[in-house]
Amino acid sequence: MVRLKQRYILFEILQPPQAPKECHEDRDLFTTFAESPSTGLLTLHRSSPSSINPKAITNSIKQHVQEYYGDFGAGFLMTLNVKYFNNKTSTGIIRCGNQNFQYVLGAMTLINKIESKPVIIRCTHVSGTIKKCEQFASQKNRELIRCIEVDQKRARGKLHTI
Amino acid sequence: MYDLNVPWPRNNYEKLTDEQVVGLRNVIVTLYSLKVYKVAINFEIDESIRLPVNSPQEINPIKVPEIIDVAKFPGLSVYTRLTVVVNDSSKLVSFNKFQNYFDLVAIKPVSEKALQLSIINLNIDLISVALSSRLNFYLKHKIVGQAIKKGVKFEICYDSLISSSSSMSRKHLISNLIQLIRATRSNGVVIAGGCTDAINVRSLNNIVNFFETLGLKRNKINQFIENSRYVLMNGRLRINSYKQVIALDDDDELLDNSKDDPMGNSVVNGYKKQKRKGDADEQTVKRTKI
Repeated sequence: MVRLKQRYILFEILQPPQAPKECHEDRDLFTTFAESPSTGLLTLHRSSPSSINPKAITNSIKQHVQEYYGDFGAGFLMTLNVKYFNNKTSTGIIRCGNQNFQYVLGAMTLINKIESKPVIIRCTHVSGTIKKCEQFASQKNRELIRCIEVDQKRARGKLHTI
Repeated sequence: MYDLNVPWPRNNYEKLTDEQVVGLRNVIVTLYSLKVYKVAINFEIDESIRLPVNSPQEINPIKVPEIIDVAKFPGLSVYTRLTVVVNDSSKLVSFNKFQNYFDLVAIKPVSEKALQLSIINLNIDLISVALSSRLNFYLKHKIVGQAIKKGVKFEICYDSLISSSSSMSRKHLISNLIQLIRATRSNGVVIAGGCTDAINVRSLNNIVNFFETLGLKRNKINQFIENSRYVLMNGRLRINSYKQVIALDDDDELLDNSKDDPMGNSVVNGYKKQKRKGDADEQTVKRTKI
């Protein structure tokens, strides 16, 4: 028996600050964003509001696939499912069928807003098993933390060269 | 990674407002966080705008230290780029004069004739085809191939793909993209951002995911990065070498712009030339010591 094959897409939601006239709460973020590499990374990877949840993500992906690839593309999305999403780290895993996952990836790239909140969705890894996605996610997070630590050390003047 | 197009918020020589400066800085930092370390700020003008030829410091309005403190971001280097919208390439006689003031020089042809003539006549690094509106000419493989043979690359900007809200402009964009991919046969293409807002920034891998569904070949992704590098190298060679052929430095040193004079204060003939002479002197001194 051949088993049903899937693709698991690991993605993260980045939230760049917006110009103050569009969104008032971001005024401070907008100006302090570019102070150093670590503030930039921390702002981009900040925890997302509760309005961004698995249901909202699925809906906006479906909407975008429908918009860009029409009914033809939307037909492939029957097995689309958000397996895991964490608001604290803004990371998640999506499951979809393995034949036409390119459409899902393409549509995810083009998403601009979820629930009128401006976001960048960045797909970092595509895998056949959910376990590999998980491993990759933890590896990626470790790297990120190391980057921030190195930068903060450098800012304090302890480290001169990288 | 490279992004050769971060638009300068103005199309003329007026000063930027504080908000625009912060916006530009945020785009660069967002790119930096996505591991894009070589960024070129693109100053796009119409051919009818007169450049201030008499005051050389002002030809290049992009003063990098005023926008971002590069020293805080290890590995980041910011270059400057000029894009001229060309309708009638016979007007561009003085084009060669201001080439020395920018790291990269690009054109944006509006008609087929402009494209053809500027490929033959002008010494440029990049051609950026206006993708977001209807192209009023057919991109022929022969002309495009001629350009690629000469070493000029074509640029694909993905900004309007993400930001545009009307389906009509998206249709134009996608049809133009397919045309460009067909005419270039996926060779000699550079993928650049052109993002005016940090929200439209995407990593190269992700954007290739979308282009793949349009028929761009994924296995050429390394070539795209290599092409951007090639374009940057070509532009830097123009300023830092003898007749664009001979340079004393190796590749990494050529791309390193930390020794340049970004404010352009001390120079008359192109703001980077002077520096080169100083370097050459150093080299000769070293040699005589040996």
